[in-house]
Amino acid sequence: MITLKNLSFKYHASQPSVLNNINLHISSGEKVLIVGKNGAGKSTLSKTLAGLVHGHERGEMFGEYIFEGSAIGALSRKEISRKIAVLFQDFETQLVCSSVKEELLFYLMNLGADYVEALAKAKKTAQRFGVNHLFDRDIHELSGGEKQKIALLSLLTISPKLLILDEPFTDIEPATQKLLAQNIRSGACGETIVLFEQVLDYYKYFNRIIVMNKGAIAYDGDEGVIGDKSLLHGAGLAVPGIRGLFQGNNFAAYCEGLSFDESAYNRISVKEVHKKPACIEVKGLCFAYKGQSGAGDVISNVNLSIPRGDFVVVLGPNGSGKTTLTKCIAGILKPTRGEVLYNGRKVKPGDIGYIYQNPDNQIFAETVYDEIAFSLRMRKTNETVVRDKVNAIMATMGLEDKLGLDPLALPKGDRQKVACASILVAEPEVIILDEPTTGLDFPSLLEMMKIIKDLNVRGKTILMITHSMETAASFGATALALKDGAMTFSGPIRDFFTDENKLKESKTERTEIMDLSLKLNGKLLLKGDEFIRCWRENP
Amino acid sequence: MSVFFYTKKDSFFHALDPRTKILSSAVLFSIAAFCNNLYFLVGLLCLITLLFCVAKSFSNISKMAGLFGIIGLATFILWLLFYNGVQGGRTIFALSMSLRFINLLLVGLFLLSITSLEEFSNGLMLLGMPYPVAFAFSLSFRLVVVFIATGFTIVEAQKVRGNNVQEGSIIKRIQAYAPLLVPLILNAVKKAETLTLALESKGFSPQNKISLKGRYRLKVADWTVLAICAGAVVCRVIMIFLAHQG
Repeated sequence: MITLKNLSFKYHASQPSVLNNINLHISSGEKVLIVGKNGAGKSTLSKTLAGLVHGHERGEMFGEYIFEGSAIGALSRKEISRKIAVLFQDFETQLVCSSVKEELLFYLMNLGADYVEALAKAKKTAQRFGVNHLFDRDIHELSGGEKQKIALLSLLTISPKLLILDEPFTDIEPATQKLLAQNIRSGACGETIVLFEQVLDYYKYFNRIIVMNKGAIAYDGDEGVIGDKSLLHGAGLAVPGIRGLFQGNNFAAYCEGLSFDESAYNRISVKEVHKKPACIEVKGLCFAYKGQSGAGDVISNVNLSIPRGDFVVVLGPNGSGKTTLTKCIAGILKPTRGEVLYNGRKVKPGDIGYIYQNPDNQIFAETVYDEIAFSLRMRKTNETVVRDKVNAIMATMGLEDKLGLDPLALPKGDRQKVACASILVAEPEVIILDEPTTGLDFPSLLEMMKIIKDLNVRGKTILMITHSMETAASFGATALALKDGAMTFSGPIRDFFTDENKLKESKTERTEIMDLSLKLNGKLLLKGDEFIRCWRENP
Repeated sequence: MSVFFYTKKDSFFHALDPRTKILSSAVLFSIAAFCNNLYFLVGLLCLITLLFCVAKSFSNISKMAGLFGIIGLATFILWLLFYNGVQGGRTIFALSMSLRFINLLLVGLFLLSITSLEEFSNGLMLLGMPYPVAFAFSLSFRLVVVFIATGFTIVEAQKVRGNNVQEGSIIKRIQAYAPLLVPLILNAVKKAETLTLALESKGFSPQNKISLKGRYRLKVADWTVLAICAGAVVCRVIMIFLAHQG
């Protein structure tokens, strides 16, 4: 179906190539997972495969791209879009209509389908992927994850021959991620699929894995690559789930040679009782957006108490109100009813640090230093104190060498760090992070989470929204789950992952390590570190 | 947050065909635009208000009342101060001009209250406008929503950092807005850069012909509204003719 011959691409003649001499053949019916860290060339390759680079992107392309026997340049845009559908990493750009219904009709109708036929297909697609409840909603009312689902489903309406997905799971809840992965494997999403990711979590659902590094193909083969830690680490990738614990591929045989250390498990699973006083108290909190269709409370009657120094992970399905609740807690949104108390008094904006998912929504200064200093200067802090505090936070975040650089020119991981530093410099006691690891590759994610964990160890209270169960289980102490704006769980994270009903309700999933530990002896272990401590090799 | 006036409602006017909505609004607009008679304009204002009530969209008038009030007052003062064309009844004339302007704004608001973006562009297409032009209309409005939403997020992000654009003197507020512009402009530039690719990735082409067959049908209610509008136009023409004769 697809043949790339010695394909290279550079955005500017003076810059290095983003794609380096790629040779690739993808046959019809293949399900291909292409992984690589930030800057590996994945997005450029995805757009190239979608025929969107040829004749569009400014830059130089060398080599050939043959699609179904024809050079891509010889095909009309109409022919290409009839056969190839592509989901961008920045999926919001692809939402061009005002309502979900219109969005699901748009692609079909532009390909010439009449309204009745298009409507039937749109409804069928929405039904198949369980989003019919969103069908009549306006796009601007949807949460980030719901938007990502709709952007993806709008492509599936045309049943493309080739479906290209560039990081399609970033904002979607875990249960739906799994459902989509299953649909990819079964062929329900399309005959041939090429999915680009930064992680190998869903490798089982693909029959071919390609690892990209520095614009070139570092590996092309089957799932055997999962056992090759040095290759994956060299490409800046994490070894997925339980495979990271073992050498080689035969982990089942390895498990047989292990014995369980009950006392280690007891130490791990003992429930931490927070004796520290609550720094945040939420009382009867309700919130409704004015003028939103289907007006009802987005948050309804949430009561909550968060002790000082806790690490809370906020979980729940897309559109369950996670961001709205945390914005109310931070004093950014005013509750419709109820109140949020911070250290016993009503919270106000600025009391609590809030780090947004997209760092580009706040960065504006000419240098990293000025960006970080801004919030102190707004509080009229003495310039000597500003200098000391900024230097200290830059050292904590590993940004010392970027002091005079333009923050907007930094890679995403560093921009996220700058955004984070610009909040932390004001030394908030409580920090809320809205999916801080979205779009970060494995090394950047580890770095970011290490910083957050360090802050927590030093006494800061952390509330973090995340769809990554690995991250939640590895770093969280308390889980807070929401469903349709109501709080369905608040308690130790181990209890949450033990409760099947809560998992189902909040559309979350256990990680491979959790599943394996439960399968071995029914005792839940949250992370690799716990597994190694409890399951030891037989003497 | 709702940045648009249209919300789905189960009302007589919401259920009309988009062609009827556009044409009847055009008729109402032209009637309001070519009338100076104060009593007639007051009657028209009452009629439009009634239409809002029937369309269950009166809340949109409340939303815009402040702005429309200021515009109406400014119009009244300007005509009163600077217009010398009418002897004797300058106040009445200024009042008529002010009311005329408010009526025009209200007609526009009424159309936006009962018509979704896509209905509007589809209505234009059904009335003969080429697809790319009609789509450009709805897309530009959609992008306004996106930019406003991004703007709100940026304002929030700045507020958390202690830069509250809603506090202080006007000069302080203007200064506080400066840090908002960079991310907003960058967002807009990024969106503009990727928009062509995004549209093409979903099969859009200016040469496309969109088939709306089976989507809209003029019903009895539409024909009734169109007939009333035609009658109103005829009456208005007769009134103008008679006024010129007399």
